[in-house]
Amino acid sequence: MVVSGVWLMYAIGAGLRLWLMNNTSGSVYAARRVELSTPLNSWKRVQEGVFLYEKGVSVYSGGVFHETPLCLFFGGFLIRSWKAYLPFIFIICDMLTAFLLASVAGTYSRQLLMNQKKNVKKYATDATHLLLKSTSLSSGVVYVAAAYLFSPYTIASCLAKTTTVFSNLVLAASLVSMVNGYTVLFGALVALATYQSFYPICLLVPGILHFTRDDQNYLKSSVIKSLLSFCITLVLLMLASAEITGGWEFIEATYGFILSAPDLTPNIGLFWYFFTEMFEHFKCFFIATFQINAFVYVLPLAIRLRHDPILLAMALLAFTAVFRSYPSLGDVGLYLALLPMWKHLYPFMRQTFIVGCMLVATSVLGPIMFHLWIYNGSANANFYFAVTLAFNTAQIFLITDLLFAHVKREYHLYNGSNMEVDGVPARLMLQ
Amino acid sequence: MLLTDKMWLTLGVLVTIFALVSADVEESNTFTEELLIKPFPSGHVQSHFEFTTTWRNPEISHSIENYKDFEFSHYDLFPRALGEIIEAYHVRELHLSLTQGLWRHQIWGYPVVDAPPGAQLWVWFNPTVDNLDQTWKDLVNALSGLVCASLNFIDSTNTVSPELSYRPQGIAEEWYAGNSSLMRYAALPRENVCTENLTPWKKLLPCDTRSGLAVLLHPAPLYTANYHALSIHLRPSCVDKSCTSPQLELVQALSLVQNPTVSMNGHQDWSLYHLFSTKLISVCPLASMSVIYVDITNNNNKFSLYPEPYKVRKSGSGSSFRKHAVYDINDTPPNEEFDLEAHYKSRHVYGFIPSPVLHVSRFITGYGQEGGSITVKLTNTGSEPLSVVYLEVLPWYLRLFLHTSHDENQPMYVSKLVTALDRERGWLYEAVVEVQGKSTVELSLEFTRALLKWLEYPPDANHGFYIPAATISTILPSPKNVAVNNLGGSTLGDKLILEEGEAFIRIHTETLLVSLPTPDFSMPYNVICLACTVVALAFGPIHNITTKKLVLKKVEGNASPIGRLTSKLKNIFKRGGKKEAEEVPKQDPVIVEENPLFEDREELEDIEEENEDVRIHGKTGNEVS
Repeated sequence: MVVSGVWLMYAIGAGLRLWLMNNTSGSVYAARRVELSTPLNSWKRVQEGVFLYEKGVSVYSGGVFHETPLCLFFGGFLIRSWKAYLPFIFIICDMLTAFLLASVAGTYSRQLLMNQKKNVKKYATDATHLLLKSTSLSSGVVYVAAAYLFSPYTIASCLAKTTTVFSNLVLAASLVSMVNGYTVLFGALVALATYQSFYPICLLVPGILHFTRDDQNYLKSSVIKSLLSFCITLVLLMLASAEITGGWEFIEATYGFILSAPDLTPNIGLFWYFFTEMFEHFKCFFIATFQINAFVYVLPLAIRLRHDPILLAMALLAFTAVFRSYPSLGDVGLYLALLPMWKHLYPFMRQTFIVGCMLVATSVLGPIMFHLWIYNGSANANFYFAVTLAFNTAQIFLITDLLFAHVKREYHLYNGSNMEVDGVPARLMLQ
Repeated sequence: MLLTDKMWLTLGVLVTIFALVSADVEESNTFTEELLIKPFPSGHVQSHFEFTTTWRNPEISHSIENYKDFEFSHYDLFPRALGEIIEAYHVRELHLSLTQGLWRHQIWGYPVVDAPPGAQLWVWFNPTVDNLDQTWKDLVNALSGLVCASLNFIDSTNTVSPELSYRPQGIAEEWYAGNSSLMRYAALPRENVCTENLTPWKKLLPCDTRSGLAVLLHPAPLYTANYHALSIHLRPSCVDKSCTSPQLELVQALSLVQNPTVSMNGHQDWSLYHLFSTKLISVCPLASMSVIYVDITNNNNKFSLYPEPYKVRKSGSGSSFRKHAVYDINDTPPNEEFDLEAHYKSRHVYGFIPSPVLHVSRFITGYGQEGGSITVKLTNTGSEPLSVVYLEVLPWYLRLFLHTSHDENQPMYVSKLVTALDRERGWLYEAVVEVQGKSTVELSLEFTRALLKWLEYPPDANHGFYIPAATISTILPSPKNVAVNNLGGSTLGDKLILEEGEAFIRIHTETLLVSLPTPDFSMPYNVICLACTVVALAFGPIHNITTKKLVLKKVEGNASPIGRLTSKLKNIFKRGGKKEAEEVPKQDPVIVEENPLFEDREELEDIEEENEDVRIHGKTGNEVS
């Protein structure tokens, strides 16, 4: 009964996407939206790159195509041979991603239960109501799949045929291999994700933490295995790319483009307007500062969340979705879909209502403000910038709130819910 | 495709494989000044001045034949200011035009020299040049000083080397004419032309403006004209038709289109005095020829000239038939003012104007500031198909998407495509299009508009950005509506005698004005502050989470009365909302054995076993439903 319900959910998700994709004007509109299609993931640019490649023009010497050579290769293959089935490919990838995320949630919740069982003796005696139950966790698994299948962000991203659909698939697959402890596969998949969009390189840290967590004597071999597989895969991918394009020019055009963010087309990120208005001689400094933000939290969070690497992985995915140079709603949709795995933290979160309102309001206002600015001329860039700022603030609130909730729950698990010191009411404070 | 390489090699090129070994070429300098006046059926009158300086000596011949740099000595008629630039920057051929207004091909036919609105410069360099890009940069700076134009705005973002559209116009062998890496082309569509450009241009003439036809060039009437084009053309050319020896030819041309019909009460009457506010006073003594031609091909007794033509010259037949009234100024009585007048018998009738074989229009489609298309319409009114070369040079901030406008079935091929790179290189799109007889071909290039950095916008950012004119070149089957179609002659008089048969034309379209989305220029500090604040919003909480630990603290710890008050207020609010979440109702201590988790013990053991299975057999056990 439940199983058929799950399948029905997938079918509805796929049907919804198919129906929307058949509605041509809708998918054309989605593909044009700057929130979904950035210079890095727009399908139109893939088509242009393939067109130029077939014309014999050097694709990476120009400013239009910034995808990887393998994407050029497979994009060319898809456009040439599978043109009629393109929508199906995107939908199937989305379905697969949802399935993989659900599988991550399933394995993760089992691991949470195991962990809890292991540590239950250390917990405070009045923390029983905080303990996880298998039923509530298994409903989380369904929620994860549903959140990916029915999130407007992922649906729109699939509709716009962004290549984020593929990178989300790779990220989901690497999370699966991480929770299941497939070290070699994990290294290879993270290498592929890194090759695609550079930022997922920080997923190596939670992966290694996860592999070394269970088994202390298992430590060395698993770390070496995953790192070796990461390096070898990355080198192989790079060599294959150089073979396809006949040179190393693509590194400058892809990773150089990601890091230096020269294209200031509006998107949901923090970069575009900041660097539009930046003074030229500070540009280098601020580029470095902004890029560091995507990576600077890896180490402190890894230390703090070493017992929960999956939460760390989610936090890092979220931070890179906020701080990457060309973020799109597809990236946001991925980590939002993972949130139901931490359903048990919701009671400890304080800003869910505010954050929810902010996300809804900015998602609605974004296209409106963009239209007012670009088409009607009755607003200016500040309006859209304000919306993207609020959207990013909401994301940051959401993720920091979740981390706080995790810390608080840990505290209550170990120290009980007694909120008094010497019989006087007290408050939880950070010190 | 009907096109062959050979056809395009001859496109407007005076290709000469000259087997001449000019052992003793004598030194010779000539200067000629000519003026062509041509009334149009639209009521406009065109005046085209050409001042030609030719220079021939053994060194120059040697340089031209061997593609070496010129080394000039003993300047005579040739302007030294220009000569030094040519020497220094390895120039073989140079074409510069400064234009105000748009030449309307549909009602005026094809001009003697076509030029796009704004400034245009194209140069062929000698193969001796080492660093062509640097030489080009130095050359444009030198030229911008020479003609007082903002040519220094030419940089790598608007310079291109098209393959077919700008072949050398002087003598060149095929290997050289086909090597487009030796040429540079740039256009500045926003350049304004004014007296500050005219004055240095006039200074290049041997007689300056003190005598000769240049006396007519008063700024006031020039800059109220409908169309005004100032140009300098330098090329190696042949002395005679058989091309026995080469020479260096400098043509300074000035083209004007004025509309006397408006001011003359509906009559197209014109006179030199009316057109230029002055009469001709004297002849340039250095000029070997000072001639005024009046095109009377379509006169049919509509107007009479005063004084009577000294000579009427007829040439050609059919579509190449032309009839000119010729006035040699040297034949006028000395020390007498010369004025040329045309009297029309009746008021001007605006009627049907036979349109030229090929005409082009270009415009922007789409709305909003996100994207759009540049559409060009090529209309062939003749009956024979035309192969047209379409050259588009676009700035990088229009991002072209070519796959949307190119399908397999179009009768065209892209001969050169250079993709733009942000802030470094512009677009070069050159395509050969087949236009069937009596048909129109519409091409469009889709683009999206970039958002620039705030300092990259011009002072009036919302005015928009000018996009250079496209260049259209083709070979017409007949010289109908064409002003000149042979490159052999050095003087305007020679060129006006049309050759039978094919005629090469190179015309330019309208420039375009594209508005880009603009940021708010007034608030860089605000944007920097706000964006940094959001970044810091992430840093603060994460710093707290990772470096601090949670401890219980007594609420009463505040010393100051304000602190106490706020804590009280906080407590009031807390009681309302947060208490349930954070403070859990007290429960009796639970002994571990009664922990509800232990009721699920069996289930847990199942899971554990399953997990062991996974470890051992490597199966995936992810179905929890």
